Amino acid sequence: MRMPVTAEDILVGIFYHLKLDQRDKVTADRETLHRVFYRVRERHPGVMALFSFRDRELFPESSQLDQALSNLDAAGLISRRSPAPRYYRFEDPLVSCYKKFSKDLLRDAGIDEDEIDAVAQEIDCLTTGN
Amino acid sequence: MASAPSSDLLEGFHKGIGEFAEEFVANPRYRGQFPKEPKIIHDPLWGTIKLEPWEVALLDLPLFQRLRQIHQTSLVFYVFPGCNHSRFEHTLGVMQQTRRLIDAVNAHYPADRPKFEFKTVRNLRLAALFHDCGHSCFSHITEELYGACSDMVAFWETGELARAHPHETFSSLILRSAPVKELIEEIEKEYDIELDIEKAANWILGKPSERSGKKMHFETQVINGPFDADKLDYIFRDAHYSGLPVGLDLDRLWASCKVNEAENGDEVLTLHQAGVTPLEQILFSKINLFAIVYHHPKVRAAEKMFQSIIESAKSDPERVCFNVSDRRLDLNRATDYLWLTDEVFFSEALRRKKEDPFHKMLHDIRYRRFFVRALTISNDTVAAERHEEFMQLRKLNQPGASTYRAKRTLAKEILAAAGLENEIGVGDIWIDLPSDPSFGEADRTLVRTAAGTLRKASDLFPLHYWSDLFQKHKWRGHVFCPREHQQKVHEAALEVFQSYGLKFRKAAGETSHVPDPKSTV
Repeated sequence: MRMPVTAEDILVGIFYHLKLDQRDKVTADRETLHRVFYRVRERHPGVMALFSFRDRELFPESSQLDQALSNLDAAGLISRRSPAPRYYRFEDPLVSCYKKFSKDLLRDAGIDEDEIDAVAQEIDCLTTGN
Repeated sequence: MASAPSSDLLEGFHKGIGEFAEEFVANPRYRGQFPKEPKIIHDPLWGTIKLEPWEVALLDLPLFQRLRQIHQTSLVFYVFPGCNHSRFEHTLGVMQQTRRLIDAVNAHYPADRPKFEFKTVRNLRLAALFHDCGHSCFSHITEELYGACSDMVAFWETGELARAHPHETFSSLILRSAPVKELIEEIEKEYDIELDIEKAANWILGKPSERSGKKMHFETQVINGPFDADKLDYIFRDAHYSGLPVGLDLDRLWASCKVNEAENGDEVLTLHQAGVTPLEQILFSKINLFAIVYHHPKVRAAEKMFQSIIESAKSDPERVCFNVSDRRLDLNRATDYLWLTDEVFFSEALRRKKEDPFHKMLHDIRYRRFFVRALTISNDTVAAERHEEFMQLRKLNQPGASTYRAKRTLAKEILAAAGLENEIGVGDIWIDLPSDPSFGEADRTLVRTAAGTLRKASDLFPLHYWSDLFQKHKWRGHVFCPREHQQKVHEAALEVFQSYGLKFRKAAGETSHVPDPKSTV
């Protein structure tokens, strides 16, 4: 059986491309991440279709994003280690996970690598202000 | 089943809501005279709950009385015997907590200019009463099932209502239904009051009212917010009845609660810095409830057995079905779940003949002959270097049709690898990967600091450490199967997972009490 593509694979793809661009971390601030992913979903509805958002009082929230971050963290692909728990650090297994699984799953789901890269660049701009 | 066109699905969906409301709200057989006096109800948690006559008129409807037949915490009562409380008790508790929260906030404002005006209070009580009326058999277990039905999905795709939990969608639609509207009109005349159905139905979904372009989140938050009346009641109630000791200083929480403007001008409920500790207590209790009660392996096993029966009812309705009077329920339709209560489910067990295989399936639940664990999936049992493969398995805890299908395919592969196809069916093997509980409340709560600023509560206590520890050390997935096949399924599961590159330590079998646990490391 081939595993289905999920929000985790999209996240692995995005973080892999950030890592390719010499980024070693992304903010772990939940509000920032949810706001940024919400904006990016509006601009790239195809790539980000697996993330749905619910309007909340302060910012829109995606349960798929929360779950995917938690799964990547639990599996050791990213980490929020002290003394900088404000960031998710990209760990080595993130790269191997992308190459072994997520790259093919995303391609088979019709999600173009360049588009994932474009999403990654936007997320980088929106989270770092660069 | 061939998929119906979207317009047919939508028509059937709305018809289904209408038929349910007709029977449970408008059926003249169950309508009595409007009560003249308020009613006092004694609740073991909150003491005296006072209901206004108009509230009693609604509470007496079959729509709410059926909530007595729905356990608040699914099949948890088979593991925590005290957990026999129902959605009915919880509904009363939410009405009570709604009143207390409102009174506490209003106490901060002049009596002639309360933050929650009298009409708003009444509408919030209406929302509290209706907030869970859309629940079905065993509460949240069926929610996942009817949330995936094509008619519910087709309805959400219309964008007609804000996206919410499936039971909230049902509750909101029932409140908006024609039979409820007609009854509310009668109630308004009888008691000379005004009720705003639209507002109350939106609050159930978490959608705020607007005034002068500003969103009045504080109203919605009483029913659907980070520390809403619903959460306060269910955490207290579920902990109380499961015997899990919790200490929540609600008085302190109430006392610190006010309404402030957020940065964007919207009005939100806020807590004083001194009131953050009760919020910490609430979230800590929530983590414990998930780790100890809701995700208990026996509870999850029972829920999978229930799911197996529903799956059979969907795929083979001639053999496995549920009936309410002369109505045969079609569990491929979301709205038919509204007719299914715990009582309807178990009454089928009593109606069936002993030779009927469905009789055994139902009685296995009824008499607690649950599946056992054949394998435990966790950070402690998966080989440490298998990060990528673990992620590929763990991601199947995302809710949805594709992940559900993948888990069922894995179960089929395990069944085949165990060579048990002639003895048991795929409905006897389940891969259970629970979704994480959400801890977003701390990011949704603004705290008034001593410096006069507003900060998110998550800045003030280490919630991410708690959630980290939960997902790394308390989260457990399982493979479940009948006890007599535990060893074979254990070995077959190891073999199947190994074919996906995933290796397990001996602890995966040891913690599942497998007689002869194996390792693939």
